[in-house]
Amino acid sequence: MTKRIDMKGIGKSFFATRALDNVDFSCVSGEVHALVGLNGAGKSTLMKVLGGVISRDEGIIEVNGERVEIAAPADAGRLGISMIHQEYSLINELTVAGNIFLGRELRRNGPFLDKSEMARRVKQQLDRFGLDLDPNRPVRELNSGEKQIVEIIRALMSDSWLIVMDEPTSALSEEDKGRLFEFIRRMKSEGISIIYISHHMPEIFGIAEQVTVMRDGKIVLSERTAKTTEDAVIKTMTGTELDGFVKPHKDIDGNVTLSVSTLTKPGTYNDISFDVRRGEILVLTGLRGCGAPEIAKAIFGLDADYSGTISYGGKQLKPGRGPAASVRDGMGLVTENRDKNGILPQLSVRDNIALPFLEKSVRGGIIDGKRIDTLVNKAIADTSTKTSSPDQEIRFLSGGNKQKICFSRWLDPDLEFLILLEPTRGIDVHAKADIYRIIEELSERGVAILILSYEIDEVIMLADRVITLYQGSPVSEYTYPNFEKDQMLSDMAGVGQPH
Amino acid sequence: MTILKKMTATLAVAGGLMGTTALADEGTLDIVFINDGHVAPYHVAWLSGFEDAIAAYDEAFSDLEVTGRWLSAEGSLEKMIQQAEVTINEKPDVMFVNAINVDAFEPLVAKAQAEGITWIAVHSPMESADYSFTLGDVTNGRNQGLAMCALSGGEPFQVGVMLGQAGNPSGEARRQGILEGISSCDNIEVVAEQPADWDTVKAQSIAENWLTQFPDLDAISGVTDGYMYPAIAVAQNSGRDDLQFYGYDGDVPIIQQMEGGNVMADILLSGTREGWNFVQMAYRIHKGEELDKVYDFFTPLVLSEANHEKALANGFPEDIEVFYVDRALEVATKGYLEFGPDSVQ
Amino acid sequence: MSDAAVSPRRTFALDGLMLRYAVLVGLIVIASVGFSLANSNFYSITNVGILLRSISVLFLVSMGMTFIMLTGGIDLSVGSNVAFSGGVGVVALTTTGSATIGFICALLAGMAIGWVNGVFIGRLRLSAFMVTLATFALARGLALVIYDADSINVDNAAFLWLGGTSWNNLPVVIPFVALMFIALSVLLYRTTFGRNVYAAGSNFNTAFVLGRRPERSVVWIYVLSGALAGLSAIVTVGRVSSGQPWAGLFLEFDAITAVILGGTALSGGRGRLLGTILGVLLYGIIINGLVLTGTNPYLQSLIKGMILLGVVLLDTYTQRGKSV
Repeated sequence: MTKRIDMKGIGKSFFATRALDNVDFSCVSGEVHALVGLNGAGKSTLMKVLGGVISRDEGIIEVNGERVEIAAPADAGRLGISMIHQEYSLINELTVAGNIFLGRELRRNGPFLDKSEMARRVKQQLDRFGLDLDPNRPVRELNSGEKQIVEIIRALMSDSWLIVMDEPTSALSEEDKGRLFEFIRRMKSEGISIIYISHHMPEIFGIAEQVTVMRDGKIVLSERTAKTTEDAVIKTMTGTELDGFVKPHKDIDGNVTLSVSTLTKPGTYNDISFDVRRGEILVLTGLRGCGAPEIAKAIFGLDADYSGTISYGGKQLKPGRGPAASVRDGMGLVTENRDKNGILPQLSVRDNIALPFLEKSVRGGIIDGKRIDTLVNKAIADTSTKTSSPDQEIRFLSGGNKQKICFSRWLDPDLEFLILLEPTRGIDVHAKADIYRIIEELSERGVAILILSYEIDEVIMLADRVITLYQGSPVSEYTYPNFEKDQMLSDMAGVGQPH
Repeated sequence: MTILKKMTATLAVAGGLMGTTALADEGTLDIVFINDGHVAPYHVAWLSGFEDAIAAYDEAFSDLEVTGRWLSAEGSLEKMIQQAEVTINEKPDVMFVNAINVDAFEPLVAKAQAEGITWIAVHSPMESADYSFTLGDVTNGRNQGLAMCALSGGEPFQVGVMLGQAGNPSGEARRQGILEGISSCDNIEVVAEQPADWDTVKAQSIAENWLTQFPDLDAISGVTDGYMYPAIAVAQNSGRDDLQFYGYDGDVPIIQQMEGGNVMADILLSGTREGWNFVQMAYRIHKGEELDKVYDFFTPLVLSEANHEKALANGFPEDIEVFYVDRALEVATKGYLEFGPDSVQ
Repeated sequence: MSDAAVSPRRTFALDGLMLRYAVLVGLIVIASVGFSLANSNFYSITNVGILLRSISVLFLVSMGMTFIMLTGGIDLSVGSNVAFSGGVGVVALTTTGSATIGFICALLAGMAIGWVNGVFIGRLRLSAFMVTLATFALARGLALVIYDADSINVDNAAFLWLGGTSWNNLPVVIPFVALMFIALSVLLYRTTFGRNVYAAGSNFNTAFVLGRRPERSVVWIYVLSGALAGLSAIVTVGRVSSGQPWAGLFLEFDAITAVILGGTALSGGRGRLLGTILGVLLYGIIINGLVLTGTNPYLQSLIKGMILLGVVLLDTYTQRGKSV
């Protein structure tokens, strides 16, 4: 029996941001439906609505034409909808079968678990999909690919017919990917429906029947994969989103600030070499897992486990020298995960800004509060950060303003080199324009800047030079103004790489 | 009185009726007892004896309002000093203080006396205090040791002695007495002496060690009955039905094991009795009676009648006062028999 | 997210700690009035002196505990450390006869235990609970060894001065604690060290990435707590005219209670010394009042527990109310 689910006219707003705008999305059993879009396009929000994790503001959901309510994850489960998460929700100390039957264990007489029956049923399912896995193995011994399989089997055994996979291949080896795709094909033939979120064009065109592209909370393309092309999908994913910023022209002829040569960390990045000059903005780009954040970590002294050399101001840096030494030498870092390691949530805006260069405002061992206030007020004004006062606790600010504060820390005149990881992740359009302006101002002042960005428009807008990476290896290099957007996207997405 | 009843009573007081302060009038007697703890079984009995006695004296003498309260320093000298300071500021008539360290209280004694408060040092005597209420620990210990001599039967006899916390004066005095008593005969060998810090759990592991270490052990002696409970249990669990026990404190359950059990001797302190004795003593001082500056709590030796006869036959001194089990059990729980209002009327 | 939604929260955010302080002051007033109605002696100058002196040690260790809890840590070893550093100080005093050497040895001993805590917690990133649970036992054991489990009487007037002397009705330790409060406030609010305390507690990773060396700050914070335990030991010895192997028993729990009452977040990064001072004061008033009113000790623990639970509940309630 075929089943289908239809989401009609779904809308959702967070404060003033329209995260989903009149979205229609449907899925039919026995098919893989690929859902693509840039970060912040609304894919995750849509899937969270489907999974009952967040409530929708408007729209209806129908299963086989009958209207259903999904108010909580349990409702989704009852309807046969399962989400497979990137962070595995398995208990390491239990066996494969133990995890699959967690919470609905089979019992022999009385309180005793019927372990052999549970293992037998799991084995039956694994055989059905041609998977070779021992149900009695503890989950801690499994690799990521096998864990993912356990999660999927668990979903299938609780009568799920619709499975949502969010970037399922991001942590998998080539071999595990192959096994996962085979598994997905078998599931399709068993009538299972799969929503497949990914950026990887070869994967999408390898297994999906239908592809839907989202941008700014709207559906911009929904087509059979057989009737469209990788390039067409790439083109619709992007669109001009920014009007408030125009990159000024500049000449880059300063000294080399940072020089990286044959940097290699096996399995993460390979043979990376580049220079960054005073006032230059170099952007590394690729898909998630391309290795760029790890390169940044090595440069900032957070990782010692690499070969090759990093020179800064003509001197070779000691591997893993620690961030304190880097900051002292005039380096700065804006991390990709603001909330995890970017802000000090309970502290005031003032403290968050003043922290890296606090020593400069100390007179006789005591902090000169007036001087700090001057610096902080200037930083807030320069970055047009919206905060009611410098005493405001930073955790109450919006994402964009938090990010501006992460930038304004580094406005100190002694800064020479700044690393930015995903500088506008999860930020609205207006804040983005402000941040681009700050980055340009810093580079005009002579700061050398290394950016990691996954957003192609941002890459093109900011870069003086771009290096694309695919799975840790450099693919190509572009210099302003010769940026070919579609070619870059193809390089990043592994177009031309084997399916 | 059970702890719960006490708490309800105090709740009523804490609920706003707290007017118990001394007014230093002619017809009032306000007694405060500051103790070092309030949870050990001996402490519980002691404090409830004290409370019951206060109520009984207040009821018995219509011309006198007897009030009292007790405080617990919960083992902390700092806390005890604070409680004493607060209490002095309250100017009660009599303070009983079971000081953890007497030297620390010298300045406070002077302060209390300047306020006209009678300071009674409990257990550890103080020169400067108006009175010292002592237990005669050395004599009591010696009586226990002498009883052991008389009941050991002249054969070679091995005993282990469980001590108090190292440096605790009362524990040291008891130890001294017990060893003196034992040394009066030459068949008893003290094979082990170990401090159990007034802690039943430590006493249990010590007893376990001794039973494995000394297969010929004949008796366990202790400076408190708190050690006897685990020691008796350990002996029973390892089938040592022949092991003898010599206790100290007069806990009712221990005395109850004297007839037909292996508890040979005990020293009748009894917390309940001591609490009653405090109030009687305070009353007598209030009436202007002259008491000894060092007041010895009457603490007889407890033996079964049969054992007393056996001991006398073996040369146990006749002048040592002995209570038999029934009498001991009666007065142990009924402090008013010896120290009630009838005893001073 | 829009910025418009942000501004009204600001008042709430400030209200968080301010509300707590208002509640504490309110409770202090209520408790004081209640106790003074029950016992007219409560407001006597002598009693106020007794009260403040009795909590002076708690003031000192709680301030150290505040620094530690601001980093998201905990120091269970302070009570034992008071006994240990007191023991070292007293033994140094009795062997050399010099009060100065005694003071220095007590301070150094306290700092040594703090340093051990700090290295394990800050450098090796072990759980503070685990490490200080170990030093809690270790320092008490060392104290018992040093004292041979017995107390040592002290009659050196200089050594006893801080904890034992009073000017009329004012124990000298009270102005001393006030000075320490000022000094520690300057340290916490006006120096880079203090900012690093907050940074380490708010987000250790961020502080690390910003080059603030939180791993180093944490070591020094525990050393500071140890030094305050050493000072407390000197005050304690002065107060009881003797060195006691069981000094500072359960002090760590009283200190943690006071710091939590004072609104310092267990997760770190949030709180002020003022809150701790109010917390200690409330705690001290309640203990003092319970003694004055002759409240049954069986009930005292119950009342302490209920107050703590009540204040924490109130806090959770107000916090939840505004984070929606």
